[in-house]
Amino acid sequence: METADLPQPPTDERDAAPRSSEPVVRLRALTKTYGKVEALRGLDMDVPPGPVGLLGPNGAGKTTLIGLLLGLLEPTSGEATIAGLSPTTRSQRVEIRKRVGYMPESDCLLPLMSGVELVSTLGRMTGLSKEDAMTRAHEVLDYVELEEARYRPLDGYSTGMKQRLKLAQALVHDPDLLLLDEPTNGLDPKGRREMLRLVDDLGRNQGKNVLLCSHLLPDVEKTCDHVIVIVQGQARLSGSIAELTAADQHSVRVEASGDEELLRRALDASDLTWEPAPSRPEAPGRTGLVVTLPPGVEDSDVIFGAAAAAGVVLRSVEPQRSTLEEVFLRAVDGDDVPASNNGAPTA
Amino acid sequence: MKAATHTEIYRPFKGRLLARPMRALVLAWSGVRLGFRKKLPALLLFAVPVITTITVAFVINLKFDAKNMLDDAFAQGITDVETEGDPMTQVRISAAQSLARANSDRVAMMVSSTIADVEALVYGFINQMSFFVILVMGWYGAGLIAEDKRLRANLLYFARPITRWTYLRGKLGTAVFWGACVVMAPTTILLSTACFVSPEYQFLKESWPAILKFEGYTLAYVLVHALLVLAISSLADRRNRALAGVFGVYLLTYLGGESMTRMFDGQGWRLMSLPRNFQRVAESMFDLQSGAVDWPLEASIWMIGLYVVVSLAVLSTQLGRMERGA
Repeated sequence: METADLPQPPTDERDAAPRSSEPVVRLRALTKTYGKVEALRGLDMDVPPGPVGLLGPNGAGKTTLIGLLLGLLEPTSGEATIAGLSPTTRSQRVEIRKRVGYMPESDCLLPLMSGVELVSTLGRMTGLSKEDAMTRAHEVLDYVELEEARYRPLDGYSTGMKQRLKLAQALVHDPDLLLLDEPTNGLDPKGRREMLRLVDDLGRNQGKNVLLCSHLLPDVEKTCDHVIVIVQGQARLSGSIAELTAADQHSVRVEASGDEELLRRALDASDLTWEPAPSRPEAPGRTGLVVTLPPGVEDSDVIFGAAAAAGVVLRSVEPQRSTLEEVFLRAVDGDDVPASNNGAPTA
Repeated sequence: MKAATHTEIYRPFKGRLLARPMRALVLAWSGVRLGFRKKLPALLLFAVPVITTITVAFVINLKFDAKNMLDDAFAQGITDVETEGDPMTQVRISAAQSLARANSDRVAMMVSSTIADVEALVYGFINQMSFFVILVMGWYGAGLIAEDKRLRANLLYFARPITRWTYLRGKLGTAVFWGACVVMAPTTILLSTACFVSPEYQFLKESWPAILKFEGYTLAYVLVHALLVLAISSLADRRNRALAGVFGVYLLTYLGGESMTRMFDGQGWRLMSLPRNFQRVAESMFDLQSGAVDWPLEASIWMIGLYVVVSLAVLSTQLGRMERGA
C-alpha cells in the first residue's frame, strides 16, 4: 500500500495497465420490466473500455440501466456481463459492486459527517481495512483537491466540493468501472472545468473505464471516446465520437468573403442544393452555407466554378462535420445515423 | 492557498479487499458517531438515566453495606470475647457462638431479603427507564432511515457490496446502541455493583439466573423497540415526521389501550401497547404482580411477535425499494 508521503512519478509516466479491448459491459437482449412497464426492451449493448458517454432522453431507461450495472436490479430476461461478472444471483450482484464505483446525481451526503469520514466509512463498507480505508480516503481526497476541506462538516461544502467528494467516494476502492451520473450538475464554469479535467484524467490517463451519464453533450464530447444513446429502453446508437461526427463527404461548408446572396444565386444556377450553416461556437458572427454535392461528385470544384462564375471570393471551403448534438438528435428522432457499431447493433 | 506547482495524482490501490469485512458494524458505528455530534440533546436525554443509575447504585451499596456491618458486628463480638482473658472465657465464647449460630438463620434471611430488595430495585429501575428508552431511541432512531431517504444516501450505501439486511443490521446496531445506553448499560452497572458490594459475591452466586433474565429482558426490550422505530423511520421521508410517527404510535397505542380499558372495563385493550406487553412478560419473568396486566402471558408474546413481524415486513419492503434506488 502506498502512503501519502511517498513521492510519486508524474501521472503521464505512470502508465496505466494496458487496456483490454474486451467490452467492460456486455448486454444481450436485456429486458427489465416493472409490472406492465418495459424499462429496457431487449437491450443489446457493448460498453467498450475507456471513457464512454451514455446519453438518452428522460425515461429512456438510463436509471434502470445504472441499477443493473450496479447489481441492484435483477434483469427480467436476457444476458448481462458487468466487469466480468454476471448478475444472475444475489451474491454475484453484490460482488459486482466491489468492482464498480458509483457517483450519484443527487446530493446524498450526510451533513454532520466530514469528508474524510464519509469516504473512509464507505471504503470500509466496500471491504477495505480500517487503515487502508483511511489512507485511501486521504489519497482520493487529495486527488480531487479536497485536501484542505477534508475535516470540515459536509454542510459547509459548496456544490463543487460536494460533487468532487462524490467522485472521491466512488474512487475509494479503486474500481474497474466508474459510473458517473451527471457529474457536472449544478457546477459553475470553473467547477465544471475542474470536474471534466478529473473525469478526462481518469478515463484517458489513469486507465479507468468510465461510463458518463450526462445530458450535457459538450461534457461527453470533451471527456469520452465513445457514446451510446438509449431511447425507449433500446440502444439507438453506439460508436466512437470521432466516427460519429466524421466529415460527410457529400456536404461542404462554404463561407463567402463578399455578398453571400450572390453565392446563393450562383449555387442555385448550378443546381446545387444548399442550406444555411449552423453558427460555430468559436466564431459566432460568421455565417455560411452547407452545400450538398450531387451524387457522383467527389470534390468541391463544382462549387469553386459556380463562385468564380458569380465573381464571389470564397473565404473557406471545408467538409461539413456533424456535432454530437446533431448526431444525438438524429438518433433520438429515429433517423439513420452513420455509426460504427463495435459489435453492438444500432437502431 | 495551494502552491501552483502542486499537482494531485491518482494513486491506484495496491492492497486487497477484506474477505469478511464487518460492514454492518461499520455502518452502525458511523451512525453512533453522528449521534454524538450534537451534545445538547444527549445531555438532556441522558441526564435523568445517569442520575438515576448513580442514585440506585448508591442505594444498592448502602443496602449491602448495612448487612456487612451487621456481619462484622457478630464477628467483632466473638473476637472481643476471645481476647478478654476473663476466667469465664470459655463460657462466654460458648455463649457468643451459640448466639451467632442462633442468628445465622436471621443473617441468611437478611441476605436473601437484601438480594430480593436489590432485584426489586433493579426491576423498578428498568421499569422507569423503559420510558426513556422510547424517548432516546425515538430521538436517535427516527432519522436513521428517514434521513437517508431524504438525502438519498441510500444510493451511496447500496452502491457498496451490501444487501438490505446488512443495512438493516447496521441501522439496528445504532438504534440498539442508544437504547442500550439508557437501560442495558445502567442495568449492567447496577447488577455489577450488587455483585461486588455483596459479601463474598453472594449476589452473583445466588442471583445469577436473575442477572441473566434482567440482561435478556432489557436486550429484547431494546431490540423490539428498535425494530419498531426503524420501521416507522423507513415509512417517513424526513426525520421530524418519523419522530412524530414514533411518538404517535406509542401514545396512540398506550393511551388508546388505557382509554378503552376504562370505557369497556376489560384489560385486553392494553394488549395494543408494546410497553404493556413487555410489562406482562417482565412480571412473569420476575414473579411480580401489578394487577394492571392480568392476561395470559401467551397473548403478550403473540402481540410482541406481531409487532416484530409487521416491523420486519415494513422494513423489508421499504429497504428493498431503497436498494433498488427508489
